[in-house]
Amino acid sequence: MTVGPARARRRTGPLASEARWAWFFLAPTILGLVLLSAGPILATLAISLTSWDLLQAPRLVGLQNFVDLLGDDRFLHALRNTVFYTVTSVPLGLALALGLALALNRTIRGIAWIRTAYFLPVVTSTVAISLVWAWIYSPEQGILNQVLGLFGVPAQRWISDPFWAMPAIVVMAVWQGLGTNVIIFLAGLQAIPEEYYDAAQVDGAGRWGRFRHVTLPMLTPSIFFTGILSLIGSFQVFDQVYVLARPGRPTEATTTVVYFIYENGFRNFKMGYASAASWVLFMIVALLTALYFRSQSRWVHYG
Amino acid sequence: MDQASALATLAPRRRPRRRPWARIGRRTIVYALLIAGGLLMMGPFLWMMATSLKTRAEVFGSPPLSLPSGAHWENYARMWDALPFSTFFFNSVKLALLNTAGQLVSSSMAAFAFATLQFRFKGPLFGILLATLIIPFQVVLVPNFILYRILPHPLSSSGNWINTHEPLWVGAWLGGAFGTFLLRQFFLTIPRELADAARVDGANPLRIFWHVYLPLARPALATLAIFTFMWTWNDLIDPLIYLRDTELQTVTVGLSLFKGQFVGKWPEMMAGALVSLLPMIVLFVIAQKHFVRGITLSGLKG
Amino acid sequence: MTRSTARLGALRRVAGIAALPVILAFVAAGCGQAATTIEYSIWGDPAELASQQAIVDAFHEANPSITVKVTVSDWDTYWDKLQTGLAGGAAPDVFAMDGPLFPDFQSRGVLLDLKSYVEKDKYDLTQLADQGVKDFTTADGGQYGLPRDLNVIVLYYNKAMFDEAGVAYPDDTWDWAKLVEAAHKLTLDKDGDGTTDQWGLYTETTDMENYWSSLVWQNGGDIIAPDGKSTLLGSEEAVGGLQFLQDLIWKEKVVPEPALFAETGDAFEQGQAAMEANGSWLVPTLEAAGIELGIAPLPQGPAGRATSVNPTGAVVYKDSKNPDAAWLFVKYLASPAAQEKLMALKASLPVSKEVLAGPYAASFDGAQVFADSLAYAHLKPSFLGYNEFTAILQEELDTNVFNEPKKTARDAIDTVLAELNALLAGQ
Repeated sequence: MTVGPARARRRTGPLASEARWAWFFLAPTILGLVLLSAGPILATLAISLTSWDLLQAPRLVGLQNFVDLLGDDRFLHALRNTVFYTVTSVPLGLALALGLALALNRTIRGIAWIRTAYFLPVVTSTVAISLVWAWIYSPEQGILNQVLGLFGVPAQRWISDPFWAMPAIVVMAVWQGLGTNVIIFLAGLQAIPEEYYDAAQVDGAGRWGRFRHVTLPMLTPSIFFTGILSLIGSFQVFDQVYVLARPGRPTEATTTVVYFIYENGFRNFKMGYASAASWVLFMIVALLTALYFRSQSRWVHYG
Repeated sequence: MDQASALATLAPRRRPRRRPWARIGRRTIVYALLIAGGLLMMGPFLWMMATSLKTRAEVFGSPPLSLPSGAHWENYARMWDALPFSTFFFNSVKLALLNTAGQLVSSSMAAFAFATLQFRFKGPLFGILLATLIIPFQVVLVPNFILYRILPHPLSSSGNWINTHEPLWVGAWLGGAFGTFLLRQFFLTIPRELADAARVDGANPLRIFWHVYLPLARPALATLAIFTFMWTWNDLIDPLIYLRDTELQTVTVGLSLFKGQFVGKWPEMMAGALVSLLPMIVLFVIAQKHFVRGITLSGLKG
Repeated sequence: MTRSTARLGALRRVAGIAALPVILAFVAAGCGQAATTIEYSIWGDPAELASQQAIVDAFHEANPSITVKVTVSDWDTYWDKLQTGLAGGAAPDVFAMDGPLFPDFQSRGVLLDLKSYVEKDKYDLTQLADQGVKDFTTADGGQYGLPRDLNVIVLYYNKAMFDEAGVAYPDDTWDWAKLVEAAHKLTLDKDGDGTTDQWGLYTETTDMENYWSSLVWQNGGDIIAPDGKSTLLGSEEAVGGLQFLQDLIWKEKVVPEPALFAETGDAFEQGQAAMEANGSWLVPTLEAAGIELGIAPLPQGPAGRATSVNPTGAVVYKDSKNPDAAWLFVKYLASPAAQEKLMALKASLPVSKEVLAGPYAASFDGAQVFADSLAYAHLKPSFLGYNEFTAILQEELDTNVFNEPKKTARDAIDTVLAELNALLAGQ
């Protein structure tokens, strides 16, 4: 794949024209931001300052929703559970996905099918996944308790026990999300130029040296990306909690911020309150994302 | 086997020879571990297959991974006939393809600008783009709905975008934070010298984008295609909110009806879920090749 | 065989509707004929959709100038879709409404008062089940919809298990003591491994409707004050009803603890329980499960008989452009012709008294029990703030009373009583 010598065409002012080119490339995105995203997102900010039941005209209440949130135990529990979920699921999910991607990045017979197997949870219906995991966690017939029983560990109520409920959800979510990050890492591994390995070889680097000095640094852009996406995604955890919280609904031990938002907005007729909660969430995640971005100059290597 | 093996196989092998039994042993362990892990990942999928062939009484009356008493293929027929699923399939494929194409085009363009070009407000613009990911969709649902109700539509009977497919794919052509960010990260790993060389040859950014960056980012493009296709395919809430007519609905919405308010129709539901998985599995098997082939940066040396 | 072919016929009609709007648009555009199209939104599964579509087709035959488009969603997303549509100013003309949620929608002014239509047509509301009508009537006499069908709680039993254990089938003489006694005889550890493999009774604890509201009423208690501004769950009688259910699970151990079947679903349907206290919607499921099904009234409590009835209604969107057509259709849904079609599903009771007393009672074995239960059925509580109230209450009950016996019913109710009352008072 060689870059054919383009027909020489003189252009004036490469830098000025570069900006013009940038706006050309960005035109669809900017149109989308202005037309589709800006309005609705700003609307939620306005809604967060009102009391709105979705059906009647909203009433301006200023910052009251935000004040109420700080005194709402259910919101604080949801926040606590969400932070727990993020702190555990993000590092665990990334580390496992990285290891798995390295293991799957090989040309052995049948690798396509093995990769497909690892990808299946990503596409499998969440209902099927949650049912099978519910079976794993089931107190009496559950596989987990049966296996642990062999080692003399007493049976636990993995989902109904408030202590185990959130860890149980984290494990299921990590398992389910693994394939997504593996794919991104696999794609990232392919983008590493072979010359870098050749050079490392010439320098006498061993297997570990090549990993440490070529693979890992070259993979940092992918790690940076999956890190941010996992962070943002984990703060929005909803599905897993919704489907695994059985019987009934998420409890104090498992409710999350987005479940709180959903329940208030669509079940309790409090869209103003829900919007305020989502802006609190937004601020937390935006701050963390900004800090994370600032850190990238220290550890992310670009070509 | 090392991490670069995929690439190494394409080039003459230079590895020091090892004792063959060690290699065979190693390979066997790797295989065993990968296959065991793969089976673990496939558990729910196998359950879906078994369930789709069981009778309703069997679903919960027998252990989850037990075999059905007989292959009850009639579940598939019942599922397919219960609703106009061929229409739903057509709609789902149409929407998934439109979204995938739109994301590939618009996100790669934006990613190229963010990764390689210098312009004012680059940082803030990227930040704003990323911010759109952070707001939970549940609160934007109503404002979005109002937006599409206001937008005029020449062909719709109501005159707006409600009850048309357009709210479900037009946005994909106007960029997206996930795709742009993903591709930006890949573009940034491409050595700048390649672009510089092309520029010296007089190529404009569009040519560089087309002839240098896009071919090199094939794995990332394949990744984005898989994800976009999958997300569109599995999207339940948007088609549900925007579409009214049965003949406009998607497979995922159709399948959700088997859930029932009180009792689910598991065999039909799982038969349907499996059928609806097929396009994505096919797509993945095709696309995953691009994670191995495609990128031979070394070819650029010439 | 007959069941499935009948269903296939109905399903083909569903597939046929795909072509309807096209033809209609053609007719409207080409001939300039004034045809009205209204949208009717329901929750349900494909079988319910087919049944409703059959009713809609019959309506169209009787009123050729009106076409009804049925849109369907599953229960959870139905409400998301409805509220988004109402908030966005584009809601269906007619939509299904769950009795308990009616006040939350009606009070927010999105439903059309049909009173003037009732008066103009001299429509006789007494032809419909009283509880059903009441749920859609407001204190000031407004009529914001008509009932469409009813859900009632009964006692299902597995005849084979009763025969095997030599226990007489449940009948209307049963009370709580008899229920406990029989349930003990039917709770079996067949293989002697120390765990129960056949339970005496199965029920669901996560919603008051499945069983516990009936127990509260059977014990002489109640749930919500008539004005909807406070809860009556603090009374000894109400707490006693809740306590009875906790005892069935944790003291008598004749009902499986909720976690056991939380994932796998209905223990009775799977042949792992001899009785089930639950709603009419289960009839088609249980008949399909291949159980020798018997249907009996709920056993009476210390204060007598009680069960729960919960109507689904059809209501009209306030900003509907075709309110006249909508009213005609709502009226048709409650008519004997439509009710007989609905009845064939067996999933709910008709609201038309004529159909209830006539064809319904004879339509399947046990239908008579459902019809008779209405005489002593209490309306499922319907009040402002229903969702929030039940979320707070059920979280406490599920976590501390039913899923695990961490608290007595009294302690649990006392924990949330103030919060519940404050919530209701603030509505």
